[in-house]
Amino acid sequence: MDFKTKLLISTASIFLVILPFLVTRFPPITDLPQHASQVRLFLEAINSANSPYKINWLTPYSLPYPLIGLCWLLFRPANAGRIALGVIAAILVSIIFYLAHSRNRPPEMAVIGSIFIFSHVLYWGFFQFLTGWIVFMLWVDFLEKTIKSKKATIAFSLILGFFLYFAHILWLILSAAWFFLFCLINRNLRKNYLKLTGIIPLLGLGLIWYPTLASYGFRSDTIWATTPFQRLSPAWFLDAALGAIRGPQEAIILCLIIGWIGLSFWQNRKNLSSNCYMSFLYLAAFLFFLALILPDKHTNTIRFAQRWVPPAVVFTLLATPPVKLSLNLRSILSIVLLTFMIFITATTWKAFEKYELSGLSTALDLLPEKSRLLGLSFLKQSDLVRGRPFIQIFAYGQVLKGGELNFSFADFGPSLVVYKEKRRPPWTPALEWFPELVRERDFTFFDFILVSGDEKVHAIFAQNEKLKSLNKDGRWHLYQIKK
Amino acid sequence: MASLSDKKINSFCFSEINSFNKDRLSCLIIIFFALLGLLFLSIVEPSYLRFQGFPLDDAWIHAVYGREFARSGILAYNPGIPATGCTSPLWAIFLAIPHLASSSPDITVFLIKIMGFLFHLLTSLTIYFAFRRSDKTSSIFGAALVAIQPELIAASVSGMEIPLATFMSSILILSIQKNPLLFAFSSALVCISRPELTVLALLLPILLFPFSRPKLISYSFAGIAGSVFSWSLMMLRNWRISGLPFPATYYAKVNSSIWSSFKSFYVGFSQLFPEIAIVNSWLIMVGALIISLFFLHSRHSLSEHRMASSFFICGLVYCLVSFYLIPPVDPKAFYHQRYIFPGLPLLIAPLPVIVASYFRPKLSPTIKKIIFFIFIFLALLTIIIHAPKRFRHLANDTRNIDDVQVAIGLFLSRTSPTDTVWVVDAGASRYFGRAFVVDLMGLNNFQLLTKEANYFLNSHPPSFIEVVPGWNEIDENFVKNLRYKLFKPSTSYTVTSFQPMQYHFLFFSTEKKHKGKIMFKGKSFDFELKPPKLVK
Repeated sequence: MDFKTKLLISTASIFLVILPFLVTRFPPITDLPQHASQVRLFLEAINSANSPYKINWLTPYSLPYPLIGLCWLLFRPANAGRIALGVIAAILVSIIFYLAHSRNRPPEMAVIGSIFIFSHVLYWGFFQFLTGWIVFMLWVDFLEKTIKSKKATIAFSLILGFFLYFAHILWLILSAAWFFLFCLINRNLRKNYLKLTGIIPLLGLGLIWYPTLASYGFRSDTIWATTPFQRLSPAWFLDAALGAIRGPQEAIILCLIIGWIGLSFWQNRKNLSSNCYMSFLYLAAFLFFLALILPDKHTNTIRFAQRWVPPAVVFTLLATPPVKLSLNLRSILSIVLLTFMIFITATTWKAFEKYELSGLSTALDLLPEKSRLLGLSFLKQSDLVRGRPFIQIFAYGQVLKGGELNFSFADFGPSLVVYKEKRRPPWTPALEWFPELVRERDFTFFDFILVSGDEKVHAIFAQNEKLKSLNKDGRWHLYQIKK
Repeated sequence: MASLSDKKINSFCFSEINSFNKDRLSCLIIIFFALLGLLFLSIVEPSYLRFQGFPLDDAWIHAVYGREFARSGILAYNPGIPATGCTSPLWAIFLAIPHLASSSPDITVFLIKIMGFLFHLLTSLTIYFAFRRSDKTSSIFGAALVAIQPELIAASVSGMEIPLATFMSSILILSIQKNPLLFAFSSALVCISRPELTVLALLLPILLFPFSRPKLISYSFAGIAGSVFSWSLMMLRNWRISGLPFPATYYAKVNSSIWSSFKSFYVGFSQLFPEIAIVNSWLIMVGALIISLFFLHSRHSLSEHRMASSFFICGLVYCLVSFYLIPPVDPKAFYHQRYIFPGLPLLIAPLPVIVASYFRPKLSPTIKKIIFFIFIFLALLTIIIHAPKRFRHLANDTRNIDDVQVAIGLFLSRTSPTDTVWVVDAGASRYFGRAFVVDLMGLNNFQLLTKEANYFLNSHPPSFIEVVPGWNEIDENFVKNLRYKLFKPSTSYTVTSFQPMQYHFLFFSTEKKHKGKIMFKGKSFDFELKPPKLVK
């Protein structure tokens, strides 16, 4: 396939991938509003000496924020998060195509690989992890390249190490681990050792930074909800590889992709090692292995194990030899598959916005500037998407109007912007997760409450004499607290 | 004939002792893994082995039979009266040993747990010898996985017959590699350690020797002969005692659910299997099943591959039979899980052999080694992650039983032998209590399963009646005249998922006789409650 056709396919894939972000104002991405509101808090911390916030310059989770900040300036605060995420998705697709092209891998595999951007990693809003994924792919590319100049090698290593550190510390650790495995497999540690020079000082920096995280109370029990053997099941694999949209669609798509990989391996079984891109296959195996053994939750990081599966599937696809069909047919089939996924995604997001977030726009419009807002989402599960897409929706209030929330990422130690003095809220904690625990005395600390729920829930709130309902249509209502 | 069989048994024993000497290191590894499992249990729940009882009241029923066998040489529930409530007569006979060794319940319970663990250890070692014809690494790891498997460790110290049943099934798979006489002997023993294991004695020869007619005939005949012999003895005894051929448990439990077979199988494999380490992997189980069927189907399969596959399929069939006979209505409860535990070693031990055999001809030696050790690593990690949960469950179940059933038993220890107690849970109340016990479920009083039920109850008027929500109830018009004592657990109730069952009410009358009506098993019976003659 010539370069022009590849470019056309990659452009089409990028367009398809960013489409859902363009057609939806409030995509079902859990942490998105909290990440966007970090930009507002950043501006507040920079512009006001009296601000309760400080900037955590050393935090290894800050790389996406310059991009979100840029989108904040260019596309207004309301759109900053989703457009930044769209750009991250577009870059991710571009890098997948770059890796495929530079290694002469079949382009249709890059098209199919683009599907896995719409996994639980995106839906939970792991901005940093997605950004880290991009940098890690560049790191993988860098490891396989021969750079003659020692200075250039060190410089590239430092730059990539810097980006890995500021994207996500887990990707930095993984990069170091993959370096050693790569050198072990290829027996070329002596040739490559300079490539590690950029990583080592940043791992050291991570060691300095980590105690500050622990002292900020950012710790949790380490939980294995499932054992490694239990994870060897189709249900777990589906949840870990995509795990985003409810219904049978994802299972159908995954079955087709597994069938595609299986057919390719079967057709190429006689020369499998020469037709596969073994380095990526080893990397994918390593990522799958991590997904099997790591805990489900560690130091407040949820989906600690499952998050490695989408990258593992992408590397598997890039390692897989082409199916013995005509190139045009392969390309068309892959584009059809991606289009099917995008169609499902875009329609689901639109339906989510229209039905499950009904009333939200009106409620946010009615919210005055700089209000103290309490978010209570009695809608816990969505009928359309998996996970908990509603828990941080109330943070759109801070994105659009500033003010203060009952819970903010500024309460999280590793965030870019954190409270100077760690908040010790007098109200019931974790209301974003457990709104049913709310007590009437909690209302005294806020000006407004953003409530989601069915008619019964709103009937209870509407009857409360201390509250005044400001909008009555849809599932999301804003209540003013009478003083 | 007898001298010939003695010679064969002796030569079998000597050959195994010689093998043990040759395989000392392998055996030490397996023993180390088993002890590691026990140590893990002791670390997670330090008081379990020494200071707690059993996680099921049924274990106390076994202990009652064991104590009576030690005392009188008969399998009895109430002293001196033969009963048919024992599904594992061989276990009851073995339980006589700790009762002969000590009369103190604390020490006896500890000795029962140690004896169960020794059977578990012997199971692992026997399995190693059974698989030794396969490559050594696979057979060691297969046996080591069985040795350290948390469910089997927990079951071995639960007071139930499971370790004996697993040991007997491992003897069965070893004996089928030796000679038909030993196989017949093992088949006979396996049936009286757990009746469902009969299916192994019948199925193993068919799976192992389909292409060798003489072996197929001789071992099938041996399996059938051994099973028929055991079953005949058991049925004859049951018939003489109760007029019914099967153990009372059969009539009380088997097919008592309204579940269809399909639903039982579905819930068993999709909800009960995920609760058990190693077999909780859909991919490993389905993969092993496919490879096993392939090896069994092919005439050219190596004998060790056919053997591993046969054992695996036998394990699955055993689970199917178990699910069919006793539907897993509460898959999270040890009560229902334990029915399939005797089949677990057959499912787990062959896995390393099957994995290694599948990859052997296809990949380079390095990749094969990596895959094999990744499998072992994942299996061990699965066990390490899973074990604390299982051991905490075991200890909490036991705490529940100690708080309720054992407490009732201790309360009844003040009764006189001339008193009568009607109970739902018939284990600890009989073990610790002194009164004559009527088991309302009919497991230990076969009369309740027959037309004589009414007469039997009338001739044994109660001084105490145990009421458990969901199982029995006293007509509300009579309840107000009675006194009761409530027994409930001090920790969360995990013995079953049916939470009302945690409350046990012991009704009694202190002054005068009270007439009333009791409902259980869909029937209603009159009773006359008389004041107990408590011993001071």
